[in-house]
Amino acid sequence: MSTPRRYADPYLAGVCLGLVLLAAFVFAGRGLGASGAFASSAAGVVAAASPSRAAANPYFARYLAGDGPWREWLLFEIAGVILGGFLSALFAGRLRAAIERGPNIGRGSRLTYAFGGGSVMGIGAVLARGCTSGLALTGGALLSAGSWLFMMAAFAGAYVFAPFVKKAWR
Amino acid sequence: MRRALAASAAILGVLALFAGKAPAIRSVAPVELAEWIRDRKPNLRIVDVRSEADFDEYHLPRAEMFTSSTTFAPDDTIVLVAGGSVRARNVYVLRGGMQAWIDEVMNPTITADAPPPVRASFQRASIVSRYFGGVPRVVDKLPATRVNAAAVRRRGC
Amino acid sequence: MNPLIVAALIGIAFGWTLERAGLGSAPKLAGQFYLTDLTVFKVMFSAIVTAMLGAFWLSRLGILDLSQVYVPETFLLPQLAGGLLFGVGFVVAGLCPGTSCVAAATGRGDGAMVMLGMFAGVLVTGLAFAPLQHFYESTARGSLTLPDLLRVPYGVVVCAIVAMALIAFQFAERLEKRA
Repeated sequence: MSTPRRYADPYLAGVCLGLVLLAAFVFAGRGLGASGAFASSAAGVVAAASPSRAAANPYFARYLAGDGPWREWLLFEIAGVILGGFLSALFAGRLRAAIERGPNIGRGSRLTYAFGGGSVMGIGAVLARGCTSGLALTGGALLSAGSWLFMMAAFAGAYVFAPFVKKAWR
Repeated sequence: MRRALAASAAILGVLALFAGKAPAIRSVAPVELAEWIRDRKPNLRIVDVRSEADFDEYHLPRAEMFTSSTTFAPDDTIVLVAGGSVRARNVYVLRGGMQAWIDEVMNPTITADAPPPVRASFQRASIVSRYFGGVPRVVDKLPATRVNAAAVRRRGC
Repeated sequence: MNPLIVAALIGIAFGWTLERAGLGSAPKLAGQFYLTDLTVFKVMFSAIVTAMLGAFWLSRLGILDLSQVYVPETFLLPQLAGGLLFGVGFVVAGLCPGTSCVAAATGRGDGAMVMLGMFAGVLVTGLAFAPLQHFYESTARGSLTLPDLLRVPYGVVVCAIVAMALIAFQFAERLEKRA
């Protein structure tokens, strides 16, 4: 396997990311997102299992309107994110089957933390109507007050809780 | 390279202080224009810049076609009705064009479970909609729409 | 072009850039919260400043009509509570929804597990939505922006954010050197 290449300069990568976001404003009239793709597919799964239940659910029902939950902009965007991440890693020699974790935690625990942390993020993203991509990045750039509030709360929550999960990362 | 990026950001940031307001893509929302028409706003000129065929098929009340002999007085309030946006000074552009007029004034539509702010705008739109013979509707499921601001608002990010 | 194709193309660029920055690696992201690796902060705020300046100037030059771009709406309490929860979940998982997809795409099993957790969290919250609905819809402020809130011109807010970001980047560099 070839040696993996070094990561890009974070400021340069950030500027490129900002240009991608700007391109979304200009060509799609909206910004980026991620959690919405999870919400839309959850709505789709519930609708497939029980259409009446999905339609009666005030949260999922909105994803069933229009062209339906599977023709959601964010789903196609996330499919692109997966492909783009894969290609970048491929060309940089960073494709690797692994369970990344801190030096003092086992694979099993790491996966439990991953699932648990993911679920809590899911709850937060539903309440806030977005995540770091949709709110912090997009809303941040467009100066949405609620997005800046979300961003500061998220950083605060993470820093305050970090000592409690130190063994996962240090 | 970092210095160059930082310097560019700093320059663009400082210039932003002196940039003033975005000039002229000043637009008027369909419901507000409908109110202007109903209330006989003085010196209001509604100029439809689409083709004659489109104009004949359907045009706003009190709209006139744009012709080479169309003249304006200095204190006219001019609203252009078109497909895209146009840059100019004392000129408004109907935000969203013909389609938005039809969607928001002639056929305002909300779902039964819409939250209060949406319901309030719907009430306002319904009043002026009926004045012009439009059909406000409350439905179970919103019809398919292009990906636009309204669609995103319903689904979040 | 079909909006869904545009979405996919934008997504590819998004995913590529995140991976290039190293944000597909959970230990790297987690370093932000132990002040050893501030890449998350540097990438995020460089992106925000770039897109913010881009949107401001394209709008000022009449090239972009910002009234046609969707601005995420403000819901004070849900976004405060949601943000705090999200932050807790983020430091536990080490990845956010977008970066978890990048991690999974590059072979990281933990990334896939974060995606699964996200899906489960959203699903369960959605199914149990009824008691949350009142809170969810509370304190709505519509498309409230910082210039509106602070009653200050758009350009002034833009300049202030650029200045704060540049100063913060200096601090970040110093913090990292000490780590």
